[in-house]
Amino acid sequence: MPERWQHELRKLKNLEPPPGLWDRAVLGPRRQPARMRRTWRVIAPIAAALAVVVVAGTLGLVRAFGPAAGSSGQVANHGAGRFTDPGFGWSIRVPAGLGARHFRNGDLRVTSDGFRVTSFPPDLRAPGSGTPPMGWLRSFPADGVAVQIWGLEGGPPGPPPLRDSAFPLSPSSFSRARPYVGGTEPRPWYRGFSGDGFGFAAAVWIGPQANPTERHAAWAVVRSLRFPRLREGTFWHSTYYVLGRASRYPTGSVTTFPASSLPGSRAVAAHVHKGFYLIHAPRAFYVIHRLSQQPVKPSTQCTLAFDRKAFQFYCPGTGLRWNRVGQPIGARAGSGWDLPLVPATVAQDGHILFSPFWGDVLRVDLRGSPWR
Amino acid sequence: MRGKPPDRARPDAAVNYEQVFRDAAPGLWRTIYAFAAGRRAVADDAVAEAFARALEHAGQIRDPVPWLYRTAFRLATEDLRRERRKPEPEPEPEPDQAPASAAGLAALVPALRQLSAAQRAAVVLHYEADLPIQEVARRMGTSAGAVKVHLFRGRHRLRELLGEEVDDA
Repeated sequence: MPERWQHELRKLKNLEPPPGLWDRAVLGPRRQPARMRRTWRVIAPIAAALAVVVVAGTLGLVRAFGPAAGSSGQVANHGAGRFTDPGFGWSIRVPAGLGARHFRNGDLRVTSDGFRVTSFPPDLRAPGSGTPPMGWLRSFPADGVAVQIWGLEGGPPGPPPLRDSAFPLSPSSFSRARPYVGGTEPRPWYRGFSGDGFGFAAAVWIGPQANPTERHAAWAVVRSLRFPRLREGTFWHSTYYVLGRASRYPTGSVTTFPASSLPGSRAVAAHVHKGFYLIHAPRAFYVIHRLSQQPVKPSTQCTLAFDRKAFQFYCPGTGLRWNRVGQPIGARAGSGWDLPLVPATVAQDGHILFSPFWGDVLRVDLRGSPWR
Repeated sequence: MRGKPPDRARPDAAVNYEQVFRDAAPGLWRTIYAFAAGRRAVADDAVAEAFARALEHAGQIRDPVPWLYRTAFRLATEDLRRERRKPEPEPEPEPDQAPASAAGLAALVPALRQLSAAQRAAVVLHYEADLPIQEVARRMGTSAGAVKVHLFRGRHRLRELLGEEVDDA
């Protein structure tokens, strides 16, 4: 039986394009491709070369504080109170005197979602092209303060963090954005952080004539940031299995999670096939998938078993064995046919998060062994 | 030298774009309509303009349908971005609802608006147009892995918004 959303989606077939589209097409393109001015044709190659240098080191900042201006919000929430992000459920408390506004901007590839808190009415009509658009900063008053907290969805996926950031975020953990490619507004204090397995960013702008009360209020917004408690046995934000709390898995333990024990649809289960092992090493939690595919005969695919006594993983009946960090041992030692190690995340509330989507594509980067 | 860009590698001057329009335009228009979260004018403009550009470059495009989809997505994205830059009247104008209501989409269109643009595109191409993931990726100009993530999140969100089961009542 189709689910309701599938049922609704099929109703799209009831729609037909309007007559006359072909006639419009035959008349030729109506939009002109954007043409650069002559000055820009000269400057652009130089600017592009400079941009490459800057972007290489500050990709995140350039995306966030891009030189263009502009902003738009979909949900306006002004005044003091606690505000909750509709997507990820994190919340901030906004003191009296500041106004908060939720925004969601983006295009086909990248969407930004977050809250903007200001002591002044931001000019949301200023043009801009960044994600999120930052044009509202171009009219930053000298006595103003502003806080923006946001996440980006889309773009190249990064590996899951080994551990969420510690909350509350400390102002001392912020640093001045350098280099800053914005406009004449004050250079912000900036940091990235992880919450419930996802990456976010926070920036604080403080005008040179801002009074101490508003400065304090801006940092109070940052300190008030909280993420929701996770529930074990759920599939968080369509991305992470929420396993038990870290304290349940002693250091050195290996815990089996059969696919049948995992929440989510069959489509999700297809990503974990036979389930996985959660390993707690001194430096990190990580996962080894139980389904192993090896480019060797006699078996190219097997369900891994774990030999607790030897602390080794093996394919039953094949003689293939791997040590605790997935390196082949015995006759296959040094062959390079390692088992993929997938990082698991210790969330801000102590739960372990594991995403099946990164299982087959990313190897863990622990800058050394998780056991040292 | 590894070769020319794939869409222009072996142009086929014999493509009958009128036939391509008859075959592909309804699906393309519905996809862009959903991608633009019910903004009919955006869908009309993007599809007409994409075909106009295809006709202008006829003979240079090897595989017209994915090219048309990518072009229409880009044009619609520009329109949506432009729409966001306009001064915001209060309250924010709703997309034209009349055709959506008439087609029984009164529940779907608001739900689609809660998804990201990429999620909308992936969901509609995969579940409404029944395209395999690789083909969805080609038409969106992205990777199959990214499509899977968009599909999963989009499906999950729609399930949250619209409920799991069909209401038989």
